Amino acid sequence: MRRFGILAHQGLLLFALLGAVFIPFSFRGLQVQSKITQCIFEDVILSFASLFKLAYVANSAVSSDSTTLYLLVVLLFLVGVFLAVVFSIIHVWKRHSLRFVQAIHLVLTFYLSIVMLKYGIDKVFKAQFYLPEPNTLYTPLGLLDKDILYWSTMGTSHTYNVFMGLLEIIPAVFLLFRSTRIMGLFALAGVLLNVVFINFGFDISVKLYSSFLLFLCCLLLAPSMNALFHFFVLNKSASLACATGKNLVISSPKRIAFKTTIIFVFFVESLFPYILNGLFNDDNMPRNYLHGAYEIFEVTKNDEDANTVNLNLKRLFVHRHNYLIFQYDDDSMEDFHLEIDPDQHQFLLTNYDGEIIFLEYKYLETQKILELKSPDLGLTIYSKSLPWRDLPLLQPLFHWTVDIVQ
Amino acid sequence: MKTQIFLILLLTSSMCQAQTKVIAHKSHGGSRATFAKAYQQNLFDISRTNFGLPDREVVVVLDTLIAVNDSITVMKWRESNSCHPFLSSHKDLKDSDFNYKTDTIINHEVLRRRNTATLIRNYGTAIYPIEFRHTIDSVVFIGFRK
Repeated sequence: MRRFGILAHQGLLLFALLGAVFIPFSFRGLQVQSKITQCIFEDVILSFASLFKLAYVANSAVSSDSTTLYLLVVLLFLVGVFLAVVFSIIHVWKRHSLRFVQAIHLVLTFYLSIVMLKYGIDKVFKAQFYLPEPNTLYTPLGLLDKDILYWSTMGTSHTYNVFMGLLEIIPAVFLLFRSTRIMGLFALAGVLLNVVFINFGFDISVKLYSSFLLFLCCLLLAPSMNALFHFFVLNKSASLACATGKNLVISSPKRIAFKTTIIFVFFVESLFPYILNGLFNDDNMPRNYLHGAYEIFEVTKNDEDANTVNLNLKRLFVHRHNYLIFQYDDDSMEDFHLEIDPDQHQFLLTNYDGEIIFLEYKYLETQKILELKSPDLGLTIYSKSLPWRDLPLLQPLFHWTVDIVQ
Repeated sequence: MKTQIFLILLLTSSMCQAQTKVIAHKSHGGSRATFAKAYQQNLFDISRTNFGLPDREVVVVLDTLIAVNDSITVMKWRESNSCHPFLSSHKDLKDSDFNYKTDTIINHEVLRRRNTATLIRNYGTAIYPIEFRHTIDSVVFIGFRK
């Protein structure tokens, strides 16, 4: 029974290690990871999916919560278990299994640390939960899906973003040092449990990866669970043992140099883009000068009578990532990918069927009026910029007492 | 003004927000039906987002600076028409992967004919109204003081 327990633990550790290596996470300096995964696993995953008619694969790339990611995780689990069984009969592994397990523990701890640092720093600099786009702000609440509503709500509070970011950064830093490692894992387990339930509760498509991170955290905590149970539940004294590099690298200077390098790489990976751009709050990032919301007040047809026509258009929006969005009277939206040619004063719109529409635009800066003209359809849309940043949701409201609420 | 416009456009396009593919799609009013199309065909910028973190960017290249007179300098540059992995080299992309652009810089403190190309190069890459990652050595300077 004990032997089976050891085998199962080693199988899970190997699966976690394979996951850390092959799940193509968004590491800025390690883009090769997705290429390696694609090269090794793409054909196997697609064969796996078609052979057993397991699931519909809409896109063969492995990305967050894609069918291919689920299949990859299943494959890695099977490979992990297989390797554990094979290794259990290999003499070298049996002889040095404690050191191998310690090494895997350390790798997984550092992996968890860098991932949480990245998520935490992105929150602090407001790059994850960004300021809601004008089209989202002018969508009635009931028409929003839960995921975009959650994301947008979080995006309205910088203070809470900094707090949430620090809740991830501090335990991630704790993981880097032996003396605080268990405390970091313990704190991170709570943080990740919350993240997993947010992703499931609000249908945010990072369910599998956040569950994997929670699994990693629990796996690394597992050897200390007995001591933690004794301390917290039985109120008995207990000493915590955690993975350390002392047994793996005997030389102290080498160990310090190695660790310093790792910490440096981690901070470059997570902080580099912000330092490079010198921007530390995404809310203040300059937007496209036409970015914003516009109220459509007139649509005319350029025929002889210049009649006003009703296209049931209410508003239009220019999105910061180059989309033009029309909002109809029933609040439904239609979005087009937008390319702006400032020399020709043209908008080039592309829809999801690949159809291209040219519009001529004119922006009257003093009156804040945007005119869009379609020479093909003979239509001109007149719209006026809306003060979307003055909407109540974006105001820095804070009241110590209810008495001062006005 | 035009310089400022381009600066804004580029800063906007070269940074990536952190979000999932679905949330990124919904953020610009995309419906669930159009998400399926965009996801299947990797349309527009859908490959830019993944695990709720940014990982891809537009590649920007400054090709040539032409000094027209003491106050006007023309800048020829290009940006990739799709997102690529962070820190991708423009040399790995094809000519057809880029949109080619020309812009005029007026009364810039440094980028003007009276300065030599060497002096301008010494200022580094931060003085330009566009943000690019390649070295300044590959930029061609025309019409500046010898």
